[in-house]
Amino acid sequence: MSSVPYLPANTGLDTNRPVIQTPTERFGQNRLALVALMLGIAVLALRTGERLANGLWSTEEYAYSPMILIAALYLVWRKRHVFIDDRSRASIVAAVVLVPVLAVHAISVLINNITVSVATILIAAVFSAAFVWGWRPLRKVGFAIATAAFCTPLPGSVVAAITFPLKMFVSRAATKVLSLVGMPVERQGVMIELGNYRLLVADACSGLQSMFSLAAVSMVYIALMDYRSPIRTSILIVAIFPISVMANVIRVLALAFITYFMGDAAGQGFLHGFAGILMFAVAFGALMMLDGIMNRLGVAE
Amino acid sequence: MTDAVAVPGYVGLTRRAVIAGGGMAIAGAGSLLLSARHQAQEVSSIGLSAIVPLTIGAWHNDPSAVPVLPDETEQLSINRAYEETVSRFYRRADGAIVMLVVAHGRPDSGMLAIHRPATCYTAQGFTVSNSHMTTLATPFAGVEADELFAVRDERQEPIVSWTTIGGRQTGFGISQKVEQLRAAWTGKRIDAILVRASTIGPDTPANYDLLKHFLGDLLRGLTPQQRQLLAGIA
Repeated sequence: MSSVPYLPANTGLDTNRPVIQTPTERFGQNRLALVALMLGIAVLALRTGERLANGLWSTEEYAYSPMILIAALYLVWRKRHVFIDDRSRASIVAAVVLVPVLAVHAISVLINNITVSVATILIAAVFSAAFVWGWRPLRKVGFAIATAAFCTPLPGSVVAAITFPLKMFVSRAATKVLSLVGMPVERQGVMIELGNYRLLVADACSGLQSMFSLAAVSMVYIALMDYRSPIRTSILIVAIFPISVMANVIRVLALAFITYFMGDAAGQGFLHGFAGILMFAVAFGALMMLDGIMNRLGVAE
Repeated sequence: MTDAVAVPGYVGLTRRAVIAGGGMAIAGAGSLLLSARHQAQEVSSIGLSAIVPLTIGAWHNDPSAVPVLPDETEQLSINRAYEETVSRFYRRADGAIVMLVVAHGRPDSGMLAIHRPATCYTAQGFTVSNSHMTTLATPFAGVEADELFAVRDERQEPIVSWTTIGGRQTGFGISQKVEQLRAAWTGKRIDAILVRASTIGPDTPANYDLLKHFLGDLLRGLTPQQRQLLAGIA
């Protein structure tokens, strides 16, 4: 606990705040507040964290989620100097909103709705920070908050509604490309018949989860680039989705070629994982290439 | 504390953080304790496959065919808790067919969500339309059921479905959430059931009548306790 007296900005005017302190020093005085908030959030997230660790996040499709959380926390940490003591900014409204958010969280834990549980933890963290520091610093870490939102598992009904059309699109596109290059290919729904082999485009191949993890990594990339132009940022964010669908078609194509030329075992074994990594590299490379093209075209940063 | 130098009426930074952190900790600890009480109550087998008869009225089980079910990997990833599902294909002498699915599990296991016809059929590539709640007349009492119609390419399925939690009819909307919450709150062992019957054919009243009569015959073949559990009527 800091015993060094300092002048809180209780005059309400920014200009009266002591200016001799560096941002890091100012942040140091907030340590106790930070610890209190972090402890509160940790206790709030106990049950949900346990469920995620034993459930969704331990599955291959959602394994990226903890990384996003760490990345989002890092993005907040980079901007920690924006969290300064300023009572004129503290939002009492945020404290009032916090109460129903916590109630909804408790209900979601009881009925085991993991989507709502995770979302309400994130919302509670944001509103409690607004109560302590006001909305201004939170706007400055808005991008980190948006990144953290990618940790929220999509509701099952949404996943169900999106996955099948995506799978169909990926199967159709892959079949089209395979027949264009002269491979002996037939398609029945999400089943691709290639020579003597049958490839089933499974739920995981829809690319929905990889789209999410790619989006999260891209958000971190965009945040680190520190672009001021909202147009530039928006173009990059919107581009993530078509890019990851295309990358997923490339993954299915890679698997089709591996299976056709090297056999079923190769397509299902180590090379299956390799195709996944390839897909990620292709997608991320495409995003950076798009960014590079915008540099050439002189799109404002 | 740094806030000690504050002027009167100034709620300091640290105090605000303690209030917000404390509020979140209380909410977290409270839901942890309540859910721990409920989580300990495991639902065990009720012998569902023995409860659902192989012959229902004029209908006989045909073991050679199975109805539309959720993806196996999806079932595994969403639901690691106990669950039992009976899925059977029934034929009548005149050639009519009915596919029946009965699922049993915890109210909060996600079972009710993934077996919900609107979700389950959509995930298998069907387009679901004309979904509406209706009171299904049975020989005993009305059952709040969802009627819907699913289409994938040439295949058309009229569907009737309902759920119960602890022997109470819930529907699929907010009242289901309320019953789930009530089940969690009591901290007792509570069974959740989903019943779904479908046939192959167009979206006509005759097909829903067929399903209604089949489900009526199913309920007639059960004991009052089983009827309470499966349909919320004694």
